[in-house]
Amino acid sequence: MGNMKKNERKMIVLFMAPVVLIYLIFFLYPTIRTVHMSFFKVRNLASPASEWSFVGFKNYMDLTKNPLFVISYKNIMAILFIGGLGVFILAFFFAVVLQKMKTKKFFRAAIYLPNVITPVALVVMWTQYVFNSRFGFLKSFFGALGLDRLAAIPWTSPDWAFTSMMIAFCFGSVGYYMVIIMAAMDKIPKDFYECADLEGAGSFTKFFRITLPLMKDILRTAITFWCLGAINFFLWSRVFSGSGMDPKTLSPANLMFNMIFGGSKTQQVAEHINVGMGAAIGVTLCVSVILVFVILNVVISKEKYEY
Amino acid sequence: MQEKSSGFKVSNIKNMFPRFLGRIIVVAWVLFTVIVIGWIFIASLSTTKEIFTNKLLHSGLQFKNYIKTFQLYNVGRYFLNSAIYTVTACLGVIFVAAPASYIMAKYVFKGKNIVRLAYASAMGIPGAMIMVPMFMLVGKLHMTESILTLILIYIFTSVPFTIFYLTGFFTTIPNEIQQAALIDGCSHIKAFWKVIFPLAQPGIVTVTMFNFIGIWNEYLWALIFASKAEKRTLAIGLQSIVQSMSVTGDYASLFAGVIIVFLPTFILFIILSNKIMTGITGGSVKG
Repeated sequence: MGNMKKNERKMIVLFMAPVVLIYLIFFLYPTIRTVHMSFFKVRNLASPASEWSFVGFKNYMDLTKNPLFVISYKNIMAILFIGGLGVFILAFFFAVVLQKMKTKKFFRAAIYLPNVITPVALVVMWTQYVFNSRFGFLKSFFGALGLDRLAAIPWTSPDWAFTSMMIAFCFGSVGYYMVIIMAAMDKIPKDFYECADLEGAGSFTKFFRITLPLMKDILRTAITFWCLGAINFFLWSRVFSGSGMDPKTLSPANLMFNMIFGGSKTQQVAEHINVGMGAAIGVTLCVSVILVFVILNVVISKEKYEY
Repeated sequence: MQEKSSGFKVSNIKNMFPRFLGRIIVVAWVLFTVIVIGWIFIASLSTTKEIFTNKLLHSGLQFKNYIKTFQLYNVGRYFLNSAIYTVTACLGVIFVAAPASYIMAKYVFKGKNIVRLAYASAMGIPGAMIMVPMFMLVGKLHMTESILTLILIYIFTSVPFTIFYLTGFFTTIPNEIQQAALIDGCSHIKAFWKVIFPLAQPGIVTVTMFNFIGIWNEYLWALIFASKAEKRTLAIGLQSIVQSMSVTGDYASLFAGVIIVFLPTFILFIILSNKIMTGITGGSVKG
Protein backbone atom coordinates (compact mmCIF):
# COMPACT_ATOMS: atom_id res chain seq x y z
CA MET A 1 0.00 0.00 0.00
CA GLY A 2 2.89 2.33 0.75
CA ASN A 3 4.18 1.72 -2.73
CA MET A 4 0.76 2.55 -4.06
CA LYS A 5 0.73 5.93 -2.28
CA LYS A 6 4.19 6.70 -3.58
CA ASN A 7 3.07 5.79 -7.06
CA GLU A 8 0.06 8.06 -6.72
CA ARG A 9 2.17 10.96 -5.44
CA LYS A 10 4.49 10.57 -8.39
CA MET A 11 1.60 10.84 -10.79
CA ILE A 12 0.20 13.96 -9.13
CA VAL A 13 3.56 15.72 -9.29
CA LEU A 14 4.27 14.61 -12.84
CA PHE A 15 0.84 15.54 -14.14
CA MET A 16 0.59 18.90 -12.37
CA ALA A 17 4.16 20.13 -12.91
CA PRO A 18 3.71 21.25 -16.55
CA VAL A 19 0.61 23.34 -15.94
CA VAL A 20 2.06 24.89 -12.80
CA LEU A 21 5.19 25.83 -14.75
CA ILE A 22 3.12 27.21 -17.61
CA TYR A 23 1.18 29.34 -15.18
CA LEU A 24 4.32 30.70 -13.56
CA ILE A 25 6.16 31.41 -16.81
CA PHE A 26 3.36 32.41 -19.11
CA PHE A 27 0.77 34.02 -16.85
CA LEU A 28 2.25 35.09 -13.52
CA TYR A 29 5.71 36.28 -14.55
CA PRO A 30 4.55 38.49 -17.47
CA THR A 31 1.76 40.00 -15.38
CA ILE A 32 4.13 41.01 -12.61
CA ARG A 33 6.73 42.16 -15.11
CA THR A 34 4.20 44.35 -16.94
CA VAL A 35 3.10 45.99 -13.70
CA HIS A 36 6.75 46.56 -12.83
CA MET A 37 7.56 47.94 -16.28
CA SER A 38 4.66 50.39 -16.11
CA PHE A 39 6.61 52.43 -13.54
CA PHE A 40 9.63 52.85 -15.81
CA LYS A 41 10.53 54.72 -18.91
CA VAL A 42 11.55 52.02 -21.37
CA ARG A 43 12.92 53.29 -24.69
CA ASN A 44 12.23 50.19 -26.75
CA LEU A 45 11.65 46.47 -26.55
CA ALA A 46 15.34 45.65 -26.84
CA SER A 47 16.52 47.83 -23.98
CA PRO A 48 17.75 45.77 -21.01
CA ALA A 49 16.30 46.34 -17.56
CA SER A 50 19.47 48.16 -16.49
CA GLU A 51 18.67 50.98 -18.92
CA TRP A 52 15.14 51.55 -17.69
CA SER A 53 14.63 54.69 -15.66
CA PHE A 54 12.16 54.77 -12.81
CA VAL A 55 9.43 57.38 -13.27
CA GLY A 56 6.88 56.38 -10.65
CA PHE A 57 3.30 57.05 -11.69
CA LYS A 58 4.33 59.38 -14.51
CA ASN A 59 3.28 56.94 -17.24
CA TYR A 60 -0.21 56.77 -15.75
CA MET A 61 -0.41 60.55 -15.31
CA ASP A 62 0.70 61.08 -18.90
CA LEU A 63 -1.90 58.61 -20.11
CA THR A 64 -4.76 60.56 -18.58
CA LYS A 65 -3.56 63.58 -20.56
CA ASN A 66 -3.20 61.56 -23.78
CA PRO A 67 -6.27 62.27 -25.97
CA LEU A 68 -5.87 58.97 -27.82
CA PHE A 69 -6.00 57.04 -24.55
CA VAL A 70 -9.15 58.87 -23.46
CA ILE A 71 -10.82 58.26 -26.84
CA SER A 72 -9.85 54.59 -26.78
CA TYR A 73 -11.48 54.10 -23.38
CA LYS A 74 -14.58 55.99 -24.49
CA ASN A 75 -14.76 53.66 -27.47
CA ILE A 76 -14.64 50.43 -25.49
CA MET A 77 -17.09 51.81 -22.94
CA ALA A 78 -19.52 52.51 -25.77
CA ILE A 79 -19.04 48.94 -26.99
CA LEU A 80 -19.42 47.52 -23.50
CA PHE A 81 -22.62 49.41 -22.60
CA ILE A 82 -24.39 50.38 -25.82
CA GLY A 83 -23.23 47.38 -27.86
CA GLY A 84 -23.76 45.09 -24.87
CA LEU A 85 -27.33 46.29 -24.36
CA GLY A 86 -28.09 45.68 -28.03
CA VAL A 87 -26.46 42.27 -28.08
CA PHE A 88 -28.19 40.99 -24.94
CA ILE A 89 -31.61 42.33 -25.92
CA LEU A 90 -31.32 40.70 -29.34
CA ALA A 91 -29.92 37.48 -27.89
CA PHE A 92 -32.84 37.21 -25.47
CA PHE A 93 -35.30 38.11 -28.16
CA PHE A 94 -34.00 35.45 -30.55
CA ALA A 95 -33.78 32.88 -27.78
CA VAL A 96 -37.45 33.41 -26.90
CA VAL A 97 -38.60 33.40 -30.53
CA LEU A 98 -36.54 30.33 -31.50
CA GLN A 99 -37.75 28.37 -28.47
CA LYS A 100 -41.13 27.98 -30.15
CA MET A 101 -39.95 27.37 -33.71
CA LYS A 102 -39.83 23.93 -35.31
CA THR A 103 -36.75 24.86 -37.34
CA LYS A 104 -35.00 25.94 -34.14
CA LYS A 105 -31.79 24.01 -34.77
CA PHE A 106 -31.21 25.44 -38.22
CA PHE A 107 -31.80 29.05 -37.20
CA ARG A 108 -29.76 28.68 -34.04
CA ALA A 109 -26.82 27.42 -36.08
CA ALA A 110 -27.26 30.13 -38.73
CA ILE A 111 -27.33 32.94 -36.17
CA TYR A 112 -24.31 31.44 -34.38
CA LEU A 113 -22.30 31.03 -37.62
CA PRO A 114 -20.35 34.35 -37.53
CA ASN A 115 -18.67 33.11 -34.35
CA VAL A 116 -16.74 30.42 -36.18
CA ILE A 117 -15.58 32.67 -39.04
CA THR A 118 -12.08 34.14 -38.81
CA PRO A 119 -12.74 37.68 -37.57
CA VAL A 120 -10.39 39.16 -40.18
CA ALA A 121 -12.59 37.59 -42.87
CA LEU A 122 -15.69 38.97 -41.14
CA VAL A 123 -14.20 42.45 -41.13
CA VAL A 124 -13.42 42.17 -44.84
CA MET A 125 -16.96 40.98 -45.56
CA TRP A 126 -18.40 44.01 -43.79
CA THR A 127 -16.01 46.72 -44.90
CA GLN A 128 -15.47 45.58 -48.48
CA TYR A 129 -18.98 44.38 -49.25
CA VAL A 130 -21.79 45.29 -46.82
CA PHE A 131 -20.56 48.84 -46.16
CA ASN A 132 -19.04 49.41 -49.60
CA SER A 133 -20.14 52.76 -50.97
CA ARG A 134 -20.10 51.63 -54.61
CA PHE A 135 -21.53 48.12 -54.78
CA GLY A 136 -22.26 47.45 -51.09
CA PHE A 137 -25.20 45.54 -49.71
CA LEU A 138 -26.64 48.43 -47.73
CA LYS A 139 -26.37 50.78 -50.68
CA SER A 140 -28.15 48.38 -53.04
CA PHE A 141 -30.73 47.38 -50.43
CA PHE A 142 -31.75 50.89 -49.41
CA GLY A 143 -31.41 52.03 -53.02
CA ALA A 144 -33.86 49.35 -54.15
CA LEU A 145 -36.33 50.45 -51.49
CA GLY A 146 -36.02 54.03 -52.68
CA LEU A 147 -34.55 55.16 -49.36
CA ASP A 148 -31.93 57.34 -50.98
CA ARG A 149 -30.79 59.07 -47.83
CA LEU A 150 -30.05 55.76 -46.11
CA ALA A 151 -28.43 54.45 -49.26
CA ALA A 152 -26.10 57.44 -49.30
CA ILE A 153 -24.69 56.89 -45.80
CA PRO A 154 -20.89 56.68 -46.11
CA TRP A 155 -20.49 53.80 -43.65
CA THR A 156 -16.72 53.56 -43.85
CA SER A 157 -16.07 57.30 -43.62
CA PRO A 158 -14.45 58.58 -40.40
CA ASP A 159 -17.76 59.93 -39.09
CA TRP A 160 -19.46 56.58 -39.39
CA ALA A 161 -16.54 54.18 -38.84
CA PHE A 162 -17.21 53.60 -35.15
CA THR A 163 -20.94 53.03 -35.55
CA SER A 164 -20.31 50.70 -38.48
CA MET A 165 -17.69 48.76 -36.54
CA MET A 166 -19.98 48.38 -33.56
CA ILE A 167 -22.89 47.18 -35.70
CA ALA A 168 -20.70 44.63 -37.45
CA PHE A 169 -19.08 43.41 -34.24
CA CYS A 170 -22.36 43.09 -32.37
CA PHE A 171 -24.08 41.38 -35.28
CA GLY A 172 -21.59 38.55 -35.04
CA SER A 173 -21.71 38.32 -31.25
CA VAL A 174 -25.47 37.90 -30.82
CA GLY A 175 -25.45 34.20 -31.74
CA TYR A 176 -23.02 33.20 -29.02
CA TYR A 177 -25.04 34.78 -26.21
CA MET A 178 -28.26 33.52 -27.74
CA VAL A 179 -27.01 29.92 -27.55
CA ILE A 180 -26.00 30.33 -23.91
CA ILE A 181 -29.35 31.91 -23.04
CA MET A 182 -31.31 29.22 -24.89
CA ALA A 183 -29.53 26.46 -23.00
CA ALA A 184 -30.20 28.21 -19.71
CA MET A 185 -33.88 28.55 -20.58
CA ASP A 186 -34.09 24.86 -21.45
CA LYS A 187 -32.97 23.99 -17.94
CA ILE A 188 -35.87 25.79 -16.27
CA PRO A 189 -38.59 23.22 -15.50
CA LYS A 190 -41.73 23.64 -17.61
CA ASP A 191 -44.10 23.26 -14.63
CA PHE A 192 -42.94 26.63 -13.29
CA TYR A 193 -44.51 28.25 -16.30
CA GLU A 194 -47.58 26.07 -16.08
CA CYS A 195 -48.07 27.14 -12.47
CA ALA A 196 -47.64 30.77 -13.48
CA ASP A 197 -50.19 30.28 -16.27
CA LEU A 198 -52.70 28.94 -13.77
CA GLU A 199 -52.13 31.99 -11.61
CA GLY A 200 -52.83 34.11 -14.65
CA ALA A 201 -49.34 35.57 -15.12
CA GLY A 202 -48.63 37.27 -18.46
CA SER A 203 -45.59 36.74 -20.68
CA PHE A 204 -43.76 39.70 -19.21
CA THR A 205 -44.37 38.64 -15.63
CA LYS A 206 -43.19 35.13 -16.46
CA PHE A 207 -40.05 36.45 -18.12
CA PHE A 208 -39.07 38.83 -15.34
CA ARG A 209 -40.26 36.72 -12.40
CA ILE A 210 -39.24 33.23 -13.50
CA THR A 211 -36.87 33.21 -16.48
CA LEU A 212 -34.51 36.01 -15.48
CA PRO A 213 -34.05 35.14 -11.78
CA LEU A 214 -33.41 31.47 -12.52
CA MET A 215 -30.82 32.34 -15.15
CA LYS A 216 -28.84 34.63 -12.90
CA ASP A 217 -25.67 32.56 -12.66
CA ILE A 218 -25.41 31.95 -16.36
CA LEU A 219 -26.29 35.53 -17.10
CA ARG A 220 -23.48 36.72 -14.85
CA THR A 221 -21.02 34.47 -16.68
CA ALA A 222 -22.30 35.68 -20.04
CA ILE A 223 -22.06 39.35 -19.07
CA THR A 224 -18.55 38.74 -17.72
CA PHE A 225 -17.54 37.26 -21.09
CA TRP A 226 -19.00 40.23 -22.91
CA CYS A 227 -17.12 42.71 -20.70
CA LEU A 228 -13.86 40.79 -21.13
CA GLY A 229 -14.37 40.91 -24.90
CA ALA A 230 -14.99 44.67 -24.82
CA ILE A 231 -11.99 45.37 -22.58
CA ASN A 232 -9.67 43.27 -24.72
CA PHE A 233 -11.10 44.70 -27.94
CA PHE A 234 -8.22 44.58 -30.40
CA LEU A 235 -8.68 42.85 -33.73
CA TRP A 236 -11.68 44.83 -34.98
CA SER A 237 -10.09 48.06 -33.89
CA ARG A 238 -6.95 47.22 -35.82
CA VAL A 239 -8.38 45.72 -38.97
CA PHE A 240 -11.58 47.71 -39.45
CA SER A 241 -10.09 51.05 -40.37
CA GLY A 242 -7.42 49.50 -42.58
CA SER A 243 -4.76 51.94 -41.41
CA GLY A 244 -4.32 50.03 -38.15
CA MET A 245 -4.78 53.05 -35.95
CA ASP A 246 -7.67 55.33 -36.65
CA PRO A 247 -8.66 57.29 -33.50
CA LYS A 248 -12.32 56.72 -34.40
CA THR A 249 -12.07 52.98 -33.93
CA LEU A 250 -9.10 52.91 -31.55
CA SER A 251 -9.17 50.61 -28.51
CA PRO A 252 -6.76 50.68 -25.55
CA ALA A 253 -5.21 47.31 -26.47
CA ASN A 254 -4.59 48.58 -29.98
CA LEU A 255 -3.10 51.85 -28.71
CA MET A 256 -0.85 49.82 -26.44
CA PHE A 257 0.25 47.63 -29.34
CA ASN A 258 1.19 50.72 -31.31
CA MET A 259 3.09 52.27 -28.42
CA ILE A 260 5.15 49.13 -28.05
CA PHE A 261 5.72 47.95 -31.58
CA GLY A 262 5.34 51.33 -33.30
CA GLY A 263 2.39 52.45 -35.36
CA SER A 264 2.64 51.80 -39.06
CA LYS A 265 1.34 55.07 -40.40
CA THR A 266 1.13 57.36 -37.43
CA GLN A 267 4.49 59.04 -36.95
CA GLN A 268 2.99 60.98 -34.09
CA VAL A 269 2.98 57.79 -32.05
CA ALA A 270 6.12 56.27 -33.51
CA GLU A 271 8.11 59.19 -32.11
CA HIS A 272 6.67 58.63 -28.71
CA ILE A 273 7.38 54.94 -28.60
CA ASN A 274 7.30 54.18 -24.91
CA VAL A 275 7.10 50.59 -23.78
CA GLY A 276 6.57 51.61 -20.15
CA MET A 277 3.50 53.63 -21.03
CA GLY A 278 2.22 50.75 -23.13
CA ALA A 279 2.63 48.50 -20.10
CA ALA A 280 0.66 51.03 -18.08
CA ILE A 281 -2.24 50.69 -20.55
CA GLY A 282 -2.05 46.92 -20.07
CA VAL A 283 -2.30 47.42 -16.31
CA THR A 284 -5.37 49.66 -16.68
CA LEU A 285 -7.00 46.88 -18.75
CA CYS A 286 -6.19 44.33 -16.06
CA VAL A 287 -7.64 46.59 -13.38
CA SER A 288 -10.75 47.04 -15.53
CA VAL A 289 -11.18 43.26 -15.67
CA ILE A 290 -10.91 42.98 -11.89
CA LEU A 291 -13.42 45.84 -11.48
CA VAL A 292 -15.87 44.07 -13.78
CA PHE A 293 -15.59 40.86 -11.73
CA VAL A 294 -16.16 42.69 -8.47
CA ILE A 295 -19.04 44.84 -9.73
CA LEU A 296 -20.84 41.94 -11.40
CA ASN A 297 -20.53 39.79 -8.30
CA VAL A 298 -22.03 42.54 -6.17
CA VAL A 299 -24.78 43.56 -8.60
CA ILE A 300 -25.82 40.05 -9.56
CA SER A 301 -25.72 38.36 -6.18
CA LYS A 302 -24.73 34.76 -5.71
CA GLU A 303 -27.78 33.40 -3.85
CA LYS A 304 -28.80 30.11 -5.41
CA TYR A 305 -32.25 28.91 -6.28
CA GLU A 306 -32.68 25.19 -6.02
CA TYR A 307 -34.60 23.66 -8.86
CA MET B 1 -52.12 22.96 -26.83
CA GLN B 2 -54.95 24.73 -25.11
CA GLU B 3 -54.99 27.48 -27.68
CA LYS B 4 -55.72 25.15 -30.54
CA SER B 5 -58.72 23.52 -28.93
CA SER B 6 -60.22 26.78 -27.80
CA GLY B 7 -60.65 27.90 -31.38
CA PHE B 8 -60.25 31.39 -32.76
CA LYS B 9 -60.23 34.01 -30.06
CA VAL B 10 -59.17 37.61 -29.93
CA SER B 11 -56.39 36.72 -27.52
CA ASN B 12 -54.99 34.36 -30.12
CA ILE B 13 -54.59 37.13 -32.63
CA LYS B 14 -52.94 39.23 -29.98
CA ASN B 15 -50.52 36.38 -29.28
CA MET B 16 -49.98 35.53 -32.91
CA PHE B 17 -48.86 38.96 -33.99
CA PRO B 18 -45.71 39.35 -31.84
CA ARG B 19 -44.76 35.76 -32.57
CA PHE B 20 -45.14 36.32 -36.28
CA LEU B 21 -43.14 39.53 -36.11
CA GLY B 22 -40.42 37.77 -34.13
CA ARG B 23 -40.13 35.07 -36.74
CA ILE B 24 -39.90 37.60 -39.54
CA ILE B 25 -37.01 39.32 -37.78
CA VAL B 26 -35.21 36.00 -37.24
CA VAL B 27 -35.67 35.03 -40.88
CA ALA B 28 -34.52 38.46 -42.08
CA TRP B 29 -31.43 38.26 -39.86
CA VAL B 30 -30.46 34.85 -41.24
CA LEU B 31 -31.33 35.86 -44.79
CA PHE B 32 -28.94 38.78 -44.49
CA THR B 33 -26.14 36.43 -43.39
CA VAL B 34 -26.87 34.07 -46.26
CA ILE B 35 -26.99 36.87 -48.83
CA VAL B 36 -23.70 38.38 -47.67
CA ILE B 37 -21.84 35.07 -47.73
CA GLY B 38 -23.54 34.00 -50.96
CA TRP B 39 -22.77 37.30 -52.67
CA ILE B 40 -19.12 37.14 -51.66
CA PHE B 41 -18.91 33.58 -52.94
CA ILE B 42 -20.38 34.57 -56.31
CA ALA B 43 -18.22 37.70 -56.44
CA SER B 44 -15.15 35.54 -55.84
CA LEU B 45 -15.98 33.79 -59.13
CA SER B 46 -16.56 37.00 -61.10
CA THR B 47 -14.23 39.68 -62.43
CA THR B 48 -13.58 42.89 -60.53
CA LYS B 49 -15.22 44.83 -63.35
CA GLU B 50 -18.37 42.74 -63.02
CA ILE B 51 -18.41 43.41 -59.27
CA PHE B 52 -18.37 47.16 -59.89
CA THR B 53 -20.98 47.09 -62.67
CA ASN B 54 -23.29 44.74 -60.77
CA LYS B 55 -23.11 42.04 -63.45
CA LEU B 56 -21.76 39.15 -61.37
CA LEU B 57 -20.84 35.99 -63.29
CA HIS B 58 -21.53 37.52 -66.72
CA SER B 59 -18.35 36.09 -68.17
CA GLY B 60 -18.80 32.68 -66.57
CA LEU B 61 -16.95 31.23 -63.60
CA GLN B 62 -13.60 32.92 -63.03
CA PHE B 63 -11.63 30.26 -61.18
CA LYS B 64 -8.54 32.24 -62.00
CA ASN B 65 -9.25 34.43 -58.97
CA TYR B 66 -8.52 31.46 -56.76
CA ILE B 67 -5.46 30.46 -58.76
CA LYS B 68 -4.25 34.03 -58.41
CA THR B 69 -4.64 34.07 -54.64
CA PHE B 70 -2.51 30.95 -54.48
CA GLN B 71 0.16 32.06 -56.94
CA LEU B 72 0.32 35.79 -56.35
CA TYR B 73 -0.75 36.11 -52.74
CA ASN B 74 0.73 32.88 -51.44
CA VAL B 75 -2.47 31.71 -49.75
CA GLY B 76 -1.38 28.08 -49.95
CA ARG B 77 1.60 28.81 -47.73
CA TYR B 78 -0.56 30.67 -45.19
CA PHE B 79 -3.05 27.84 -45.19
CA LEU B 80 -0.34 25.29 -44.50
CA ASN B 81 1.11 27.48 -41.74
CA SER B 82 -2.26 27.87 -40.04
CA ALA B 83 -2.78 24.11 -40.26
CA ILE B 84 0.62 23.39 -38.71
CA TYR B 85 0.19 25.88 -35.86
CA THR B 86 -3.37 24.81 -35.12
CA VAL B 87 -3.04 21.02 -35.30
CA THR B 88 0.21 20.89 -33.31
CA ALA B 89 -1.07 23.22 -30.62
CA CYS B 90 -4.40 21.37 -30.33
CA LEU B 91 -2.57 18.10 -29.75
CA GLY B 92 -0.02 19.70 -27.42
CA VAL B 93 -2.55 21.32 -25.15
CA ILE B 94 -4.41 18.04 -24.64
CA PHE B 95 -1.17 16.31 -23.78
CA VAL B 96 -0.44 18.95 -21.13
CA ALA B 97 -3.93 19.77 -19.83
CA ALA B 98 -5.70 16.39 -19.82
CA PRO B 99 -3.52 14.77 -17.11
CA ALA B 100 -3.68 17.92 -14.97
CA SER B 101 -7.47 18.12 -15.36
CA TYR B 102 -7.72 14.51 -14.22
CA ILE B 103 -5.75 15.27 -11.07
CA MET B 104 -7.82 18.41 -10.46
CA ALA B 105 -11.00 16.37 -10.82
CA LYS B 106 -10.08 13.33 -8.74
CA TYR B 107 -7.35 14.10 -6.19
CA VAL B 108 -6.86 16.28 -3.16
CA PHE B 109 -3.38 17.70 -2.75
CA LYS B 110 -1.68 20.65 -1.14
CA GLY B 111 -2.13 23.83 -3.13
CA LYS B 112 -4.98 22.50 -5.21
CA ASN B 113 -7.13 25.52 -4.48
CA ILE B 114 -4.33 27.87 -5.42
CA VAL B 115 -3.93 26.13 -8.77
CA ARG B 116 -7.65 26.26 -9.39
CA LEU B 117 -7.86 29.95 -8.53
CA ALA B 118 -4.74 30.70 -10.55
CA TYR B 119 -6.16 29.11 -13.67
CA ALA B 120 -9.61 30.62 -13.18
CA SER B 121 -7.99 34.04 -13.04
CA ALA B 122 -5.75 33.22 -16.00
CA MET B 123 -8.86 33.18 -18.18
CA GLY B 124 -9.35 36.84 -17.31
CA ILE B 125 -5.77 38.08 -17.81
CA PRO B 126 -5.72 40.28 -20.93
CA GLY B 127 -3.31 39.20 -23.66
CA ALA B 128 -2.05 42.78 -23.53
CA MET B 129 -0.72 42.11 -20.06
CA ILE B 130 1.37 39.20 -21.27
CA MET B 131 2.66 40.27 -24.65
CA VAL B 132 5.49 42.64 -23.75
CA PRO B 133 7.44 40.44 -21.30
CA MET B 134 6.78 37.42 -23.55
CA PHE B 135 8.18 39.27 -26.55
CA MET B 136 11.28 40.20 -24.56
CA LEU B 137 11.69 36.69 -23.19
CA VAL B 138 11.36 35.11 -26.62
CA GLY B 139 13.92 37.61 -27.93
CA LYS B 140 16.36 36.67 -25.18
CA LEU B 141 15.95 32.99 -26.02
CA HIS B 142 16.55 33.80 -29.71
CA MET B 143 13.28 32.15 -30.62
CA THR B 144 11.62 35.03 -32.48
CA GLU B 145 12.21 33.28 -35.79
CA SER B 146 11.07 29.82 -34.73
CA ILE B 147 7.60 28.52 -35.55
CA LEU B 148 7.79 26.64 -32.25
CA THR B 149 7.29 29.95 -30.43
CA LEU B 150 3.79 30.50 -31.75
CA ILE B 151 2.90 26.83 -31.26
CA LEU B 152 3.97 26.97 -27.62
CA ILE B 153 2.11 30.23 -27.07
CA TYR B 154 -1.06 28.72 -28.50
CA ILE B 155 -0.66 25.73 -26.20
CA PHE B 156 -0.17 28.00 -23.18
CA THR B 157 -3.08 30.32 -23.99
CA SER B 158 -5.40 27.32 -24.46
CA VAL B 159 -4.48 25.62 -21.17
CA PRO B 160 -6.87 27.55 -18.84
CA PHE B 161 -10.02 26.88 -20.85
CA THR B 162 -9.02 23.28 -21.58
CA ILE B 163 -8.42 22.54 -17.89
CA PHE B 164 -11.68 24.24 -16.96
CA TYR B 165 -13.58 22.16 -19.49
CA LEU B 166 -11.90 18.80 -18.94
CA THR B 167 -11.94 18.97 -15.14
CA GLY B 168 -15.72 19.03 -15.33
CA PHE B 169 -15.60 16.11 -17.71
CA PHE B 170 -13.24 13.91 -15.68
CA THR B 171 -15.40 14.21 -12.55
CA THR B 172 -18.07 12.23 -14.43
CA ILE B 173 -15.78 9.23 -14.93
CA PRO B 174 -16.31 6.79 -12.04
CA ASN B 175 -13.39 6.04 -9.71
CA GLU B 176 -13.98 2.29 -10.02
CA ILE B 177 -12.49 2.31 -13.49
CA GLN B 178 -9.13 3.43 -12.17
CA GLN B 179 -9.36 0.94 -9.29
CA ALA B 180 -9.93 -1.91 -11.73
CA ALA B 181 -6.93 -0.89 -13.82
CA LEU B 182 -4.73 -0.66 -10.73
CA ILE B 183 -5.79 -4.11 -9.59
CA ASP B 184 -4.85 -5.39 -13.05
CA GLY B 185 -1.32 -4.27 -12.23
CA CYS B 186 -1.16 -0.95 -14.07
CA SER B 187 0.81 1.87 -12.45
CA HIS B 188 -1.18 5.04 -11.75
CA ILE B 189 0.28 6.83 -14.76
CA LYS B 190 -0.29 3.90 -17.07
CA ALA B 191 -3.85 3.52 -15.79
CA PHE B 192 -4.53 7.10 -16.80
CA TRP B 193 -3.17 6.92 -20.33
CA LYS B 194 -4.38 3.39 -21.12
CA VAL B 195 -7.79 3.33 -19.47
CA ILE B 196 -9.09 6.72 -18.35
CA PHE B 197 -7.78 8.91 -21.15
CA PRO B 198 -9.53 6.88 -23.89
CA LEU B 199 -12.78 7.10 -21.91
CA ALA B 200 -12.49 10.89 -21.95
CA GLN B 201 -12.56 11.05 -25.75
CA PRO B 202 -15.96 12.80 -26.03
CA GLY B 203 -14.84 15.64 -23.76
CA ILE B 204 -11.47 15.87 -25.47
CA VAL B 205 -13.09 16.05 -28.91
CA THR B 206 -15.40 18.86 -27.80
CA VAL B 207 -12.70 20.95 -26.17
CA THR B 208 -10.38 20.38 -29.16
CA MET B 209 -13.08 21.66 -31.46
CA PHE B 210 -13.19 24.93 -29.53
CA ASN B 211 -9.42 25.13 -29.31
CA PHE B 212 -9.20 24.52 -33.06
CA ILE B 213 -11.60 27.33 -33.93
CA GLY B 214 -9.96 29.67 -31.43
CA ILE B 215 -6.40 29.05 -32.59
CA TRP B 216 -7.27 29.00 -36.30
CA ASN B 217 -8.89 32.42 -35.90
CA GLU B 218 -6.29 33.87 -33.50
CA TYR B 219 -4.86 37.27 -34.38
CA LEU B 220 -2.88 39.11 -31.66
CA TRP B 221 -0.10 36.56 -31.13
CA ALA B 222 0.13 35.79 -34.84
CA LEU B 223 0.59 39.50 -35.49
CA ILE B 224 3.53 39.56 -33.08
CA PHE B 225 5.25 36.27 -33.88
CA ALA B 226 4.18 35.43 -37.43
CA SER B 227 4.36 38.67 -39.37
CA LYS B 228 7.10 37.50 -41.77
CA ALA B 229 5.62 36.40 -45.10
CA GLU B 230 6.70 32.77 -44.90
CA LYS B 231 5.34 32.28 -41.38
CA ARG B 232 2.03 34.12 -41.66
CA THR B 233 -1.24 32.53 -40.66
CA LEU B 234 -4.29 32.76 -42.90
CA ALA B 235 -5.78 35.61 -40.83
CA ILE B 236 -2.60 37.71 -41.09
CA GLY B 237 -2.22 36.70 -44.73
CA LEU B 238 -5.74 37.84 -45.54
CA GLN B 239 -4.97 41.18 -43.95
CA SER B 240 -1.91 41.56 -46.17
CA ILE B 241 -4.09 40.80 -49.20
CA VAL B 242 -6.45 43.58 -48.08
CA GLN B 243 -3.52 45.96 -47.83
CA SER B 244 -2.19 45.12 -51.27
CA MET B 245 -5.73 45.28 -52.62
CA SER B 246 -5.95 48.94 -51.66
CA VAL B 247 -3.22 49.46 -54.26
CA THR B 248 -4.29 47.01 -56.97
CA GLY B 249 -8.07 47.24 -56.53
CA ASP B 250 -8.33 43.50 -57.18
CA TYR B 251 -11.61 42.88 -55.37
CA ALA B 252 -12.30 39.53 -57.03
CA SER B 253 -9.13 37.94 -55.64
CA LEU B 254 -9.76 39.50 -52.24
CA PHE B 255 -13.17 37.84 -52.06
CA ALA B 256 -11.63 34.56 -53.21
CA GLY B 257 -9.21 34.95 -50.29
CA VAL B 258 -12.11 35.53 -47.90
CA ILE B 259 -13.78 32.32 -49.08
CA ILE B 260 -10.58 30.31 -48.65
CA VAL B 261 -10.15 31.62 -45.09
CA PHE B 262 -13.83 31.08 -44.35
CA LEU B 263 -14.22 27.51 -45.66
CA PRO B 264 -12.30 25.34 -43.13
CA THR B 265 -14.12 26.51 -40.02
CA PHE B 266 -17.39 26.71 -41.96
CA ILE B 267 -17.13 23.07 -43.04
CA LEU B 268 -16.15 22.06 -39.52
CA PHE B 269 -19.19 23.94 -38.26
CA ILE B 270 -21.59 22.28 -40.72
CA ILE B 271 -20.39 18.83 -39.67
CA LEU B 272 -20.20 19.52 -35.96
CA SER B 273 -22.73 22.27 -35.33
CA ASN B 274 -24.80 20.22 -32.89
CA LYS B 275 -21.74 19.22 -30.93
CA ILE B 276 -20.56 22.82 -30.84
CA MET B 277 -23.95 24.08 -29.66
CA THR B 278 -24.20 21.63 -26.79
CA GLY B 279 -20.50 22.10 -26.05
CA ILE B 280 -20.72 25.86 -25.51
CA THR B 281 -23.33 25.41 -22.87
CA GLY B 282 -21.65 22.36 -21.35
CA GLY B 283 -18.81 24.64 -20.33
CA SER B 284 -20.56 27.82 -19.36
CA VAL B 285 -23.71 26.45 -17.78
CA LYS B 286 -21.74 24.33 -15.37
CA GLY B 287 -19.31 27.14 -14.62
